Amino acid sequence: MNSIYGEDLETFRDTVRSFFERELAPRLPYFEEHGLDRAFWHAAGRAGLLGSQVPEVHGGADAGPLAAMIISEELGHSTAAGATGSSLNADVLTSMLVENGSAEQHRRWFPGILTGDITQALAVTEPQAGSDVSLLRTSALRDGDDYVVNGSKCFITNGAKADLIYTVVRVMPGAGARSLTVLAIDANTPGITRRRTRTSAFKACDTGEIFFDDVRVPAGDRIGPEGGALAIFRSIMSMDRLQLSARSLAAAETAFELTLTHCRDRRLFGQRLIDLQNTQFVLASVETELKVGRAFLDSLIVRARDDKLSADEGAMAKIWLPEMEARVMDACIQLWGGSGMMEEMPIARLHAASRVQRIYAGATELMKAQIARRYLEE
Amino acid sequence: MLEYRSPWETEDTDAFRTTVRRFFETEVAPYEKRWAEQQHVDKEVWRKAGDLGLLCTSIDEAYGGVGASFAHELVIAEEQARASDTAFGVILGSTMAIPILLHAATEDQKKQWIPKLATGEGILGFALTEPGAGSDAKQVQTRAVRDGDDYVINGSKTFISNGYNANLCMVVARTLSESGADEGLSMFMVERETTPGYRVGSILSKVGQRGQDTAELFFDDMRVPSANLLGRIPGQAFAQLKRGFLTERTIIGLMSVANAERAVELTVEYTKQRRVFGEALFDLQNTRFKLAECHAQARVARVFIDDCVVRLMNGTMDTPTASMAKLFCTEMQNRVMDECLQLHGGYGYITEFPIARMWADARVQRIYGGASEIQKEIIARSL
Repeated sequence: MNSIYGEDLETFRDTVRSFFERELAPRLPYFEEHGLDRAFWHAAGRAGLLGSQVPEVHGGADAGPLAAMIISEELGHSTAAGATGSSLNADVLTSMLVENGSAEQHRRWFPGILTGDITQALAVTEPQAGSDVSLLRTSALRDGDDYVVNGSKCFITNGAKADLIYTVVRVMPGAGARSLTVLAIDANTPGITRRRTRTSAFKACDTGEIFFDDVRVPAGDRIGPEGGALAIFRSIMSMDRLQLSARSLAAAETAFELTLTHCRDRRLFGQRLIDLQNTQFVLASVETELKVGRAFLDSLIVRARDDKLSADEGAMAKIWLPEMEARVMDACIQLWGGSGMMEEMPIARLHAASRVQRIYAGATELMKAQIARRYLEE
Repeated sequence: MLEYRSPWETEDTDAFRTTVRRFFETEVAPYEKRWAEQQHVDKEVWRKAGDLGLLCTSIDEAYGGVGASFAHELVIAEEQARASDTAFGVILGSTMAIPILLHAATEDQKKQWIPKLATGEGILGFALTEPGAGSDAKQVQTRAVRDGDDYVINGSKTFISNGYNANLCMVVARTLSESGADEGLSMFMVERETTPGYRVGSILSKVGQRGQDTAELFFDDMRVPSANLLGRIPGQAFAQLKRGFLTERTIIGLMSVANAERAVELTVEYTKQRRVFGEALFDLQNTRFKLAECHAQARVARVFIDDCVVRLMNGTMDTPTASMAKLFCTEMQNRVMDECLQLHGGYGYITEFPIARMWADARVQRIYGGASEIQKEIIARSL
């Protein structure tokens, strides 16, 4: 395989893939019922899946941003792993900490992040605020050495169980983008209540609602400066979008492979499903789209590797690859007939999981609006 | 929105619509979540529907039906779509299986079974599909071997709607005479409660339509009286089935259109109250244009399907047109659902929101009732 990632990362891919086969798939029914447990996170830590960007001086692999891309691709490839949603995409949060956290915060949190003793979540979304972060209401009032936080968050990946919740709050008195601030809140802090949200596609993900009731957060747990949230996100968003796009591509590639095999096995009207011209043409279109998608993603991976990936490129990836994934999933699932409508079939899982790719972490519409801003300049 | 009235609507169907809407609001919608979790409707809903005349509505009173027009059945299909319900499997029976029964069965057979189906005491299943026989329905392996006055049936069926609750099941099997001669595919009515060897397997866990009790059925040396062979002549199943296809395909098309219209309605409502970037989501040009496209597509499909329905009712519907109805409308429905879900943002992915369920429910419309590919083949044959 002539991979853009190179040999070391492909070896890492083998590690990730066998980790999912060994630690995730066999316990999937348990995880779908209860969410992920500490034992799982510890196993992930031992396998080297956590904190790949943590600098060596803190015990990390300092592997650069592409290790996280490998994990994302494998999340797309494995339907069992896919059920965890983007719980295992926490590396984008770790990189946020690497870039924006203080030395003291690094010392405090990196070791636990690496072992799985500290799991992370990013809490931005609120019921009335999705695409429009200016509508965020969760507030933080400065009181001596602390911030007192009140408000609520919803649809938070890992939110129901994460140990460290990077929460976007509005530091009061304040309004507009300049008051939005990231606080790294310890989930054990008094005043926090959480509820697990059951979702149909990501059953093994600890998606959570989080309620903050006079929660005291030491000022030392603020990430970056007051009002720094949007700048912090700008620094991680491109990679987050690229990772999700890689997942879309890998999932689409997997759907194609499974469907090709199915079409060779399934018999009807005295022949194999693959012998019908319609089937051949549908699969040929799908494979062509995958090839185009892979070329596009690879070109962006090269730019990301050289730290040159632009925000617009990340946005374009997040528009095109999930939409391509949707076309591929739709075409592939049709070829399974009634069996594709059965929930436990891998193709059904891949298809169901794909829909949210166009919505979360920045909806397609938001990506288009961002790109178009350039047209309005000058 | 422009007021639109279907040409088949009358004052009578208007009055009936009020009754039907109330039925779905009070006897169906409140149970949606429960039925989705247990993956079947509670049997009582069939009785309640029977009490209100929602079963066998267009069937002759001589057989225990309500004796109303076919348009009344369409009202039921539309109101079910409006309620975002796919659990209550009433339409399959009234618009597909029962018309087949009416054409295939002898007078005695009609009088034996249809009255029960009208009250809701009888819940109907239709068992054709098998693991190895989907689009290629002729590959049915279930066998019915003549033995004295009975047929002994062995085999299995899958993806059977109402399969868990059904106590009356039309089973398609390959008939063999006592001497082993292949007599072709026949349809039998099997009364579950009095027939040993009829086994309901698991309720199948589906991606959508989760309250609908789709199940596997197993027939283990199941003895069925030869009096239960529909029409009393073996080998007639495909001729009998053909009668149901025109109606089934047209009605699936109607369901698609009604669902798409409802999705647009819900999405307009949602986007008008959702605020984003200082205005209603509806006021953003992208939203308006997407909804305009969806509304236009649904309207064009509505006019087409109403034309098909009128043809069906006056006996001028033909095979390729019914296939076009099914193909075109189901594919339009899926495109519209996808756009409408997107406009709900994250909430579009949360099952409490009807659009999330409607999106998941829509996908199978392009597969069951004859997959899109089959419909294309049928249409192509007429060219």
